[in-house]
Amino acid sequence: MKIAKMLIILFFFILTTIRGSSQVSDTTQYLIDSIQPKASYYVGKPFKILLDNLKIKVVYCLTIPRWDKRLKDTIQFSEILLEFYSSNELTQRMGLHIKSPAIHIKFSQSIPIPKAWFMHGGRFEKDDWDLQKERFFRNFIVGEIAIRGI
Amino acid sequence: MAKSKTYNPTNPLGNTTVPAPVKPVVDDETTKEELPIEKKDTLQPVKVPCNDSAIARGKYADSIWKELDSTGTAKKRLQDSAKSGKFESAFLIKKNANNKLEAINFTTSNSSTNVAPPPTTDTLYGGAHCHNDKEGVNSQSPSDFFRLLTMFKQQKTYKADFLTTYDDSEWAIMIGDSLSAMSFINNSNYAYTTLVDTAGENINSWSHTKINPTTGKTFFEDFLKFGNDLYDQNYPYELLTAYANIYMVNKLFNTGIKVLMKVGDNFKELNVFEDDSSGEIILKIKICE
Repeated sequence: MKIAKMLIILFFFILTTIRGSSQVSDTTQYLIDSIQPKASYYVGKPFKILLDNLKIKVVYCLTIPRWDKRLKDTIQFSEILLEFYSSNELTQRMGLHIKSPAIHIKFSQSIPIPKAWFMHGGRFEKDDWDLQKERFFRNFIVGEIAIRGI
Repeated sequence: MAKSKTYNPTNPLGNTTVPAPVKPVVDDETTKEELPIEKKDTLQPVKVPCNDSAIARGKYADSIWKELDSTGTAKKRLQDSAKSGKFESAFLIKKNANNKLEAINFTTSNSSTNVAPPPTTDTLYGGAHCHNDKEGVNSQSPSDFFRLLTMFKQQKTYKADFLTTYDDSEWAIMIGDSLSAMSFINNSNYAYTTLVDTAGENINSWSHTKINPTTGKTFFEDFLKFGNDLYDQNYPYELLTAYANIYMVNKLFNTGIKVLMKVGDNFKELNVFEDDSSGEIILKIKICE
């Protein structure tokens, strides 16, 4: 009985591991096939629904707008661009005129963020997508979704 | 032309009711006290020797800008307007009867984002305007590059546009490569209305909606990406817009325009270059001296 129980636990563990690490070889194709057709499903729902469904790792996040809003202490944001390459890779691909797929999210309302968060030492200093950003954005409601760079 | 006020509370989805701003979501980590913002020394452009063309352009810009001091007060009025005016001012530059450059058609618009001196049939050598909106940019806006190209297309002697701003910055943009300039301005894929937002809260900014066919992102996103790259390298915050615009006009579009920043008494040319010394290609800024 104990062995059977352990086997069941092991089975679920393996299943979870496989699902968690499922590889998507072609990011562009994945976004076209799996995200684009379901775009309307994600609209009006918290951003976390999309995030939790994504089978590819977000690497970089362009928060729009960012630094060009110069003198305000708090900056209003309503859009982000989720990228799947690192910042350097993206710059190199731009230079080589190679497109990089991305998901453009327009939230349903403006999100105020202190400018200091983007400055040196601030919590959003880097554009890398990380747990802090994920936690911050995940409950905002998605207004529009578009696949870019394809 | 400067960018408009930075935040216009219109709903991006087009609804007339604008929801109240939301408080940022608080997670476990936000309950911690924010760390004080660390100040770092900023990165400066790499100094490189100027080639002959860059030297010539620098001298030409210096000579025009200095000569205007001796032929009238328009330049001083422009500088005053940049610092304390509410609306943009501008003038055109022509040669007077003594073959000296002088400002004509000084005008002040009723806008903080736009100004255009009255047209003239005189042979023009350039123009100048100011940015006085302290929430706008302290360097050229995308529209300013198009203005230079448009004027150059009409008169090949019109090769320089000067800008003075609310924080005392002074800039010159010059036609450095006539063939590239003409090729760019005649390319219908690069029409002004395609590349630049001409209305709304993002007026005079690189387009937030039109897609660059080369990258598949909006022109603004390309611009923002490069600006963020520079920011991450620790270039000065107040110069990021100027530097990112150099990337746009030199690297992305090859407009033939050169950007010169006044450093001390002289205009010095800025460019972007690819630095691969770390094994990865990183775009950086260089200044010729």
